[in-house]
Parts: sequence; C-alpha cells; structure tokens
Amino acid sequence: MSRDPIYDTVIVGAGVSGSFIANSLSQAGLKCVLLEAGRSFTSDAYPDNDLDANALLYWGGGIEMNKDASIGLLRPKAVGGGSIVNQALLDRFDDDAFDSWRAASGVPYFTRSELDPWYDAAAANLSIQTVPEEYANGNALIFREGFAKNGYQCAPLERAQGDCRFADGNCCIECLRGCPIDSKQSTAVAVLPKARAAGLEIVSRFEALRVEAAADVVAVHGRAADGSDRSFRGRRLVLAAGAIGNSRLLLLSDFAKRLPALGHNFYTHPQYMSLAVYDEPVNAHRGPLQSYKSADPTFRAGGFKLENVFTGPVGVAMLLPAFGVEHMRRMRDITHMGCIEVAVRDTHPGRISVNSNGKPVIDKTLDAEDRRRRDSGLEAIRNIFRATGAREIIEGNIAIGLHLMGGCNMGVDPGRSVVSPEFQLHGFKNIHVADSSIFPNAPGINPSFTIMALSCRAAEQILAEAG
Amino acid sequence: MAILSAGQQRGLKKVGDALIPGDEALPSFTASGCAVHADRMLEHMYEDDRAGVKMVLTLCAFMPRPLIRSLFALTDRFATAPAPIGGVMRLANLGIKGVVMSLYYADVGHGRVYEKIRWDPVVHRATAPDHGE
Repeated sequence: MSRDPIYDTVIVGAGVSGSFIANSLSQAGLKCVLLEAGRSFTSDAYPDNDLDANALLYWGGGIEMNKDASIGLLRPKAVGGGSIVNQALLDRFDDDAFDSWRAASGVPYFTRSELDPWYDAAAANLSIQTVPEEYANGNALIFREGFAKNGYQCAPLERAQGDCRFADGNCCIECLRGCPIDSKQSTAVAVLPKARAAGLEIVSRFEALRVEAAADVVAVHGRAADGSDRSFRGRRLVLAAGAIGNSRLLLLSDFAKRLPALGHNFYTHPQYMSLAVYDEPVNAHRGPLQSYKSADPTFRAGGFKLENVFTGPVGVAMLLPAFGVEHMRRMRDITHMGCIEVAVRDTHPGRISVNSNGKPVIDKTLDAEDRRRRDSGLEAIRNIFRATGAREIIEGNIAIGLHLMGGCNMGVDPGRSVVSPEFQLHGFKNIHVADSSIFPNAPGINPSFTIMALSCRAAEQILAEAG
Repeated sequence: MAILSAGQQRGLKKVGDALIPGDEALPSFTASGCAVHADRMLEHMYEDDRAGVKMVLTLCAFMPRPLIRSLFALTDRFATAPAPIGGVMRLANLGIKGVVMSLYYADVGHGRVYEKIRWDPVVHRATAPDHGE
C-alpha cells in the first residue's frame, strides 16, 4: 500500500492560473502540491543570455512549430510560467470578447459585470502601474507619432510592475528572460511566496505524463528531474498547464474517448512582426519595452491589434530575410530599427494532438478571414512606418503564437466542449481547469488578466465544493 | 557526453559560416567561438527535432560550402510556399537558421558581437547611487 501523502489538491502547471489557484487554496488551509515541468528561478539566477533563456524557459528548447512550420509557438516552462517571460500587460476583456464567448459556450457568467469582481480580486495581488510616458523610447515614440499622423487611436499601457527604476537606465527588454530586480509582477514574485508561506509545496522539474481519475482520488504520474518515475495523489486535480500542456496530458491519459472536443478549438493570436529602418538611432531596447497599445475601434472591429514591441538580436536575426553579408549588414542597423507587430484575433481554430513519442502536434493555419485581418494590420503598420520616415520596411513572414488558448474549451454542451461552467472536466467532478485552455475562442485581447480572474473564481468554486 | 559529434561540429561551422561569413566589422560564425555552445540548446530540444538537426549537420560536414549556400538559398526562396513543399522548406530553413543565429546572436562566444552592433541593454540590480545636487 502506498505511503505517499494524499493531498487535498494536486495542481499541474505553475503558471499564472496554477499559481493563483494554489495560493487561494493554500490560504484557505488546503494541503496542496504544485507540479511544474520547468525550473524554479530566483531573480539573481535567470539566464543572462538568449541562448540559455530560450533553452531553459521554453518547451522544445525555445520554440515549437505547427505542422506546416508557419507559426512558431512560444510555450513558457518555468515556475511562474508566462508571467516570467511576458511583459505583464493587463487588460480586462471588453463586451465584444465576452459576448463572443457567451455565444460560443452558452456560459451565462461571461460578462464584464460578472467578471469585474474577479479582476479586482486578482489585481489585489499585484502592483499595477501605467508605463510612465516620460521614459518612452524611440520605438514607442514612432508608434505614438505614427498613430497620430494616421488618425489612429493609441493609449498608454498598464503593466504589473513594482519599481523598474527607469531613471537608472534600466531596460525592460532584459526582463523577457525573467526580471532580475523582481519589479515585474510575475506570479513567482507576487503570488507564490504567499502560497509557500501558507504551506504550498512546489515540485519543479516534474513532467506530468498521465492522469488517473477515480471518484475519490486522482493520481498524476510523471518523470522527476532525476529521470525517476514519481506519482502524486490528491482528492482533486487542477490542470493549469496551458492549452497545449493540458490537452497533451489528457490525450496521453486517454480522456479523448469521453471528451470528444479535447484538443480542438485551439487559438494563438498569430503575431507578425514588422521592422523598419530609420536614419537616426531608435534604440528600441532602452527603457520600457512597450509604452503604448493600439486602442482604435476600427482595428478592434477589423479583428486585429497593433503592439509596440521589439525583440533581441536573435529574434531580429530570425526575422530578417536572406543570409550572408547582406544579413550581417542589416543586423548592424539593429539600433536604428523600429518594430510593430500585428496580433490577429484568429477565427479559424486549430487542433492539438500528440504523436507516438508523446510530442504535441499542432495543426493550425490561418483561413482567408484570418489572412485578411493580418493583411489589414500589416497595411496599418506600413502606414505608421511611412508616416514616421522609415527608409526601409521589412515584414516577417513567420507568425509567432504567444497566447495559446483553447483545447479544453468551456461550454455547457459536453459534446462540443471539455470543461463545464463549474470549471470541471465534463463527467469528472474532481478535475478542474481555469487557465487559457478553457477559452471558447480568441478574444483578441491579452489573456493574462482574464486567466487570473477566472482562476480566482475557480478557486472559490473549488473551496465551496471542498466544504 | 557531447551531443554533437566532431563531424557534426564541423558541419555546424560550415553551415554557420555560410550564413554568417564575417565582414569588416563582425566575425564569422566560426571566428566568434559560439559553435562549442551548441549542446546548451540542443539538450533541451525534443528528441525528434534534435535528431533532424544532427542529421542535417552530419550531411553538411561532407558538403562543399557553395552547395550548402545553394541549398540554404533554396529553402529561403521557397519558405513562403504553401504546404507540403513550403512546410518542409520552412522547417529546414528555420531549423538551421535557428541554431546558427541563436548561437551567434546570443553573443555567448568571444566575438563581442553585441559591442559591434551597439546592443547594450542593462538592468542595474542595485539602485544607482545618489550623487546629490
């Protein structure tokens, strides 16, 4: 007979959702273990170069490609998950996003008024600030000026940050490898320390490979850092490994027989970066990485948004066409480059499956409507760059998927969805999901804040069930 | 035990120098000294992907440089083609380019690449001293 402890809750995935749920349950006195395939870093131990960062902070050694290699998927793998490597941008969904979710899922509480208290509950854990405009870098000024000259609307960004000390010359592009001064409000900084203090056990470098569910206990089997097999058992399970992680684990565990929609309805907000070269230095790597967001209603209606971004030399090198001396010449212009990306609110769902080696296989393409949305965004970017004096515009042709959503979509119909409005897998009252995998479709808005809000609501639901 | 064999390391340097031959300001891929760090990224790839990269590097070790350049140019040219041809070309293109560019432009060798392209972002871990008025 096993002498392993039975936890009140086993949580798979220490990203945004897993961290928030683990904190709420631990604060309420439940005995929880949080399992994470990636490593746990302290602020002084994040990788200091992009080679190690890509290898250590993402699945697949940095990037996973979809089946036809047209979309590169960036899937974080660390305690803190996406909040370690993202820009901590916080946006509440608008009525358009929730109306679309309600229509797709039949879930009545997908409204702003129902979710606002949960956004507030999540925000209470974070320091949220408007990115100070006085430190906007050259790339942000191009964005703002180009929007103004074209009559587009943009707005300052809100970000979860403490004290970035921009006056000291700090550059947030470095924080894409993890914030070395703990200013960015990752869950590793803002949430997990409180959960640990309340008794949460965190096991990093444990890859969950199979779930077994019975009425009174759920077991998670996987591989530990030393290569040994290990299992964890709990009265309930929370899956918080993201769209691909949750789908993969459930598919490997043969849940597809009872959940026909498992792995379907996968969205990524495909993002296409365009670079522009200017005669004068832009220095897009200095100060806040992003200062403004597009807030133009015609963009929203057109199914895309523009983002004021940049990437490091490895990313720029991958975006630039050609190779050899011509590519090197262009790389020497990196500090003269501006960058804007279009993020498409994709309408054409993809599908997640697994191959015989257990590797996720992503079948995801853009249909004609998605391509039209992308092209509208690229046209707006060209307008911005031309209006601000760019001497050359370079459009990347590979999409990046950062917002990985769906695969375990929420809905009232077990035939067309995977998770019930009560955040339970259909037919499994002791398996819960509240992360981006439950999204019914692509909202076209940064998902992070809504994942937090849904996770706070799910935690309350779990606590009510736990009595 | 090293992930790349000596022959695969040789292939990596040949394909690296085809993509990054060096110019008046920047060192070549080989001269930057970054190739020896390849295992740091390969270790974390999926086995399927790592096997593909190793196979390509094994082949490159036996190919003349002009042929490597021509083949890479081919994958570059057809990278926007529709699947399945375009998919294979994109995968080959991104796989090779990803390994080479990640090693070189992460500046983990001794080529001081960032200094030469003026890439100098910083985060000061401690607050800058207040020097007063």
